[in-house]
Amino acid sequence: MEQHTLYELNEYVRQIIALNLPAPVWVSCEIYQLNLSRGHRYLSLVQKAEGRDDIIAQSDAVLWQGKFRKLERKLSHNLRHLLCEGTAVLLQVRVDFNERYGLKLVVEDIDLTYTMGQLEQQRRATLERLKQEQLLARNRNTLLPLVPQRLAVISSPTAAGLEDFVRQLEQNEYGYRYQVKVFPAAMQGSNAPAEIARQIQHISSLTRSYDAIVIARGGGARLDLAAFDDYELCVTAARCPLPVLTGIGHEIDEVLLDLVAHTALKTPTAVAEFLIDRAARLESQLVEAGHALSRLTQRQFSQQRLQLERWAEVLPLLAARKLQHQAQQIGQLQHMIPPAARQHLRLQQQQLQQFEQILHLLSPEATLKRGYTLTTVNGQPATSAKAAQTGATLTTRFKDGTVKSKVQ
Amino acid sequence: MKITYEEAIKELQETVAQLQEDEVSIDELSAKVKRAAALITYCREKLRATEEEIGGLFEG
Repeated sequence: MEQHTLYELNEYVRQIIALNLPAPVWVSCEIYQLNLSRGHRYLSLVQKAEGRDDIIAQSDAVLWQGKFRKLERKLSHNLRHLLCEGTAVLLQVRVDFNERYGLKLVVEDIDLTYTMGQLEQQRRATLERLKQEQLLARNRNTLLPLVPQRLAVISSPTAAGLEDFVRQLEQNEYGYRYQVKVFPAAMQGSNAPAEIARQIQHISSLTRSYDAIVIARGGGARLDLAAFDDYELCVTAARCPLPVLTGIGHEIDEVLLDLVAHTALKTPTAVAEFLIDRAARLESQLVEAGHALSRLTQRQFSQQRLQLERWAEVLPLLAARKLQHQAQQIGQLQHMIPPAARQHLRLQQQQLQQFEQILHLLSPEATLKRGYTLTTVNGQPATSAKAAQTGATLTTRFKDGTVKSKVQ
Repeated sequence: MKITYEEAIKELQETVAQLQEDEVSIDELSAKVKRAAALITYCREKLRATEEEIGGLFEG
């Protein structure tokens, strides 16, 4: 049985590796852990099973300080964001095997576009998920007061954007007063999403409620914004019962947090302007409404006054007309009375004449003329034979004279 | 006068209409016209007072 020392074996492995992997290779992986020691960066690289969290490959890697500086010059601030736990990266590595220290991947280069692409893919998937869960318009349906004045600001206390925001609000030209309370949270790095989400939940749970939550952050690199594409953070913001306003400080593309927010603005300063404008707009509406009310009441007054004046004019005229009318009627009556009276008299006369005729016809003279006689005894008309007792003197009147006779 | 502005205006309208339609007898004419004049004075005063009251509300 052939025997080898460990050194011999390792030396053999090193040779095999050196022969088979003479040049650096590009490897896609995820940075699992990252440690900094004396300027060198020690990485633990992993590959996880498709769609799961199980690690199916793992290797240690190192980014020497010298190489780091060179890469920093090339990628500037982006490098810091690439070298984060949880970031998917495409690394150019030299496979180094040392008999004493074993296998180590030495990082030679990093592909920025790969990570950007990975982030973009992840972002799209998150967006799709938020859409399906109907969370995009959720926070937009919360009620933003007409004049939001109590503001809970989630920001990093050292962020330049926060200072701009507060100054802009305090120095507004209308003299509106705002209450601003800052709830600190990291605005970049892997802790940012969880810290921001925790503050959102904290603010929502406070008994004395705020009018709105403002998430404020100054400028930064595109990769910095990955924190604001975080699914959990977006869900928390979308479900927040208070309106969430964002001013995350970016120009080109919106982050997912902007899409779930009540109102997304480009910078913290823009959020402050938005709030001031909102108050100013309401105030000008109120002033306008006041003017309109004043105008309308004035019109109402003048209409009413005009009506009263018209009545004041027309009432005496109507009364005078009435009186005149009555006077005319009396005049007419006055004229009508004499003819009426005359007519009445004439009628009376006619009637009297008729009565006269009737009376004449009925008179004793008229009867005597027709051949009748009138007999009286002692001046009384004798209308019965009994009145003519023996020895009585009867006076008989004819039409042409009177005869006295004695009853036998 | 214990009457609202609305009631006063309504009564004035009715009085004017009655006069126009010649529905007022001479016996009531004087009383009616006096009442109407009083109502007009009352309405004018009420208008002026109301105007003064709200006049200052929209200034400043």
